[in-house]
Amino acid sequence: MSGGVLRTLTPLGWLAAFGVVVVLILIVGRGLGVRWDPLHLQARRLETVQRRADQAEALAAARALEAAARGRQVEALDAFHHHAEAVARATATAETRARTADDADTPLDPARAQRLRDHDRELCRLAPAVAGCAAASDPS
Amino acid sequence: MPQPSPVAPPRLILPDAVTRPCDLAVLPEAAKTADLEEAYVRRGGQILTCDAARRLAVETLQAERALIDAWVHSRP
Repeated sequence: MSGGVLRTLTPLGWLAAFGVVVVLILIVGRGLGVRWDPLHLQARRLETVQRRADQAEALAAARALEAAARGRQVEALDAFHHHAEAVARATATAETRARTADDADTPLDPARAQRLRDHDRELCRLAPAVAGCAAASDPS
Repeated sequence: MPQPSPVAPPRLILPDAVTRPCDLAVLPEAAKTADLEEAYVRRGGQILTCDAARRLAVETLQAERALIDAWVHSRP
């Protein structure tokens, strides 16, 4: 009987039968754990997912280290500002004493003053980015 | 050797105070004794402040390097 069925199949029927057989083989194969991935697409997808997970982990680790260090940075900056304020106070006190000294308004010996200003200008020529050098370079 | 990463490594912020140029007190024209004394004491203070800024910049840089080393060694 089956021989009779096969003989009555048209070419299209043969094609359809072949397709059904292939699909059945794939279904059975998948069920048995057979994997057919000639272009390694699955492996590439897994690789991409793994790479993204690694990058996310690295990013989180970098940010966590930064956050942990931030506290120490704030303390160091705080200490710097306290130090700068103490220096400014000591300097202001010394400047006040200079201005209120008995000889505060005595003009400097012109030659001495010129030597000092010449040196200021030379320092500023060597390091023009230093703040305060605009005054030294402007003879007016 | 670990592969280069597209992820930015840890970074610490350099405070503005340590990126500004140092200051230098100079004598004004027609300087008086007080001007000289003021410039002298001001320069002393400026050296201390500038040196403190330098130390803070170096400490920040060293701390950042230590973070980067820790981060690199923590990665597989």
